[in-house]
Amino acid sequence: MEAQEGKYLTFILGNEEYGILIKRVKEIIGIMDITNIPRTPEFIKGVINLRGKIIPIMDLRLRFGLEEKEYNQRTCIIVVEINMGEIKKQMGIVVDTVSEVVNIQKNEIDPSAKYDVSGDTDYLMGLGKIKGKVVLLLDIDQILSSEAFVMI
Amino acid sequence: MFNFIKKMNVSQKLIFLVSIFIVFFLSFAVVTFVLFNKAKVNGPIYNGIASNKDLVADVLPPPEYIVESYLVVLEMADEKDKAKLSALNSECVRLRSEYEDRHSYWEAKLPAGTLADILLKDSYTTAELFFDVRDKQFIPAINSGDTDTVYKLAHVTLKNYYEDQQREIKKIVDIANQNSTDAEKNANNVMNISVILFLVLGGSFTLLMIILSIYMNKSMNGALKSAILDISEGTDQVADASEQLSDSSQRLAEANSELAASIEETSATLEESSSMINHNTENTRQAALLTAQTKAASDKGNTEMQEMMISMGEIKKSSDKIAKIIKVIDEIAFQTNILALNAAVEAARAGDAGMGFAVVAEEVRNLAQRSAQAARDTADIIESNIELSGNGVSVAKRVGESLAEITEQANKVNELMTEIADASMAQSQGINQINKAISQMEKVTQQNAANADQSAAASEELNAQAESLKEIVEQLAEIVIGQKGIGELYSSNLSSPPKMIHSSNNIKNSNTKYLKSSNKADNWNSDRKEERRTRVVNPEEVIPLDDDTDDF
Repeated sequence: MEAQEGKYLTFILGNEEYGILIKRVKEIIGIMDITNIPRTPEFIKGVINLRGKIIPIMDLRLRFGLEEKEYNQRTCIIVVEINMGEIKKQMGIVVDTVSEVVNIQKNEIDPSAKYDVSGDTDYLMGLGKIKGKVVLLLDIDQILSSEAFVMI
Repeated sequence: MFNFIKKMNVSQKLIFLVSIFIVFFLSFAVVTFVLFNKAKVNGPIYNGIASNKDLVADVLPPPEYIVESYLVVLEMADEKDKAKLSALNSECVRLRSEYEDRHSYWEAKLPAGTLADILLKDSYTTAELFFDVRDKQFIPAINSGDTDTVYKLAHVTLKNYYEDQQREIKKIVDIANQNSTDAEKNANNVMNISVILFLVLGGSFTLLMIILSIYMNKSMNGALKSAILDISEGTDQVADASEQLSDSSQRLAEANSELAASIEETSATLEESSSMINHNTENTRQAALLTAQTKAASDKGNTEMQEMMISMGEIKKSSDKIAKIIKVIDEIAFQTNILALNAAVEAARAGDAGMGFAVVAEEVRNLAQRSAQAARDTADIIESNIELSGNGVSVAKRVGESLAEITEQANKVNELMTEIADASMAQSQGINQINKAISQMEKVTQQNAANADQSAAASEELNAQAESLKEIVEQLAEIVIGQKGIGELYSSNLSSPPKMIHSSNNIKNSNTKYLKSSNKADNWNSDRKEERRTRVVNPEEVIPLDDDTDDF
């Protein structure tokens, strides 16, 4: 899916800054205790109880193959809404920290097709150029594979 | 007038003396002989005396011969005048007492013998008989006027007695005359014998004197000559020795004065050392004071540093508290940020209706950012504070260490000071002892100087004595040998027998060493005196023995 212009919530993971469409963002919360579910993929950390609602948590670092980082007070969980066809599910992703909400114009976006060398960058919608930085615009729907989706 | 005697040498004098003695002796002999001749028995004097005695004997009636008494008796027999009779009576008494006197005299004087017997016994007996009759019979008869008795006594009895005595007297005369003649003969014999004896003795005595004098002269001369040479040799050696002594005294005095100078220097150095030590001790004392002060200061510094550490600890604590608070603020800011983001999300979801809210959310976010920024800044400041504090603490620690080091060093310095003080004490004592030793050395040096002075004086004395001894020897040589002979003596010395003077051999063998001796031969008196005088060393010049030792 191509990046659209609009407001993105940027967050940091490792050394890079990523962005998600604000429409997909439900909530941002600080890190809290995660109940581990056994026999789940490693990047599925477990679930949390958010005001009575059970939300599965995914560690985006592990998902992206980055080194796992110890959670600190800046670590946040972004609760996002993932669409799989008609089904909408909420999931929390653990990120290093959230930055801000930015408004990205069309001319500030670089299409990701240029970088699709191996075809593994489905998750990347495009690259945003803001304040001299490069923000990787994520397609949140592509992050989870279908099996995992089903699982959750 | 007696110069010629003075110029004679001993042997000449001896001969002179002996000759004079012989001459006097002979003249004495002659005079004695003459006198003897004059005074001998049957000499003129004797004859004179004898003839006088004969004359007296011829003229005087002898008392021992009672002839005068008999004469008086006869006179009395014929005398009628009473006055004259009494006079004659007195005469009788006188004559008898005279007879008794002479009898006593000859009793004492005459040696026992025939003569004595006859005189003192025989003639005396008869005389006594005479006197008894005279006094007991005749005088009374005279007094009584008994002429017949008077006559009878006078011409018979008394006459007989008188003639008896006469005979005895004659015997005496004969014997005495014979004795006299014998004595004269004896005297003549004796005289002759004496003369012969006298001549013989005199002659032999004179001869003996001459021989002895010659022999003694020779031996004396020889002994004296050798003795003189020996003495003069010895005196030379003494003079040499005294010169050496004087030299060595001089050297001793010089060395001694050097020593005294060194002692003086050493003394001065010691004084310096002593004053330095005193200075050191003073410095040490002050250093000890300073060290104590330093210690006190460092202790104070330590205490204050402890306080500083405490206050720094306090600072750290409060910094920590502030840090916690900042952390809280930071967290609040973070949460606020998240809240703002959430608000933005909701605002975005709300679409247009949420635009105003989005602005509010943005503002809130900004606020949160500012808080976070302020918190970060404060955190930075606190961190730098803590860092500074930490620096301060480490600096304080270093200061503390330095202070501890200082204290330690101060302690070490104190120890060293104590050691220095002890060493200074020991040095002081050592210097005291050295000072004592030096004053002893000074005393010894003074004694040495005095001794050297004495030595020099003694050697001077010795030299003078040798000099005077030389002169005496010269005089002696003059006396013994005479001026003429001296030159001969010393020129002949070169070829004299070895036993006389050992140097003579050396003279034969090595002329150089004993060149002086050969000089002796040439100019005996004056040159030697010259030499001796030039060799006399004046000690006062050589050894300036001032009491003022500062000159050293």
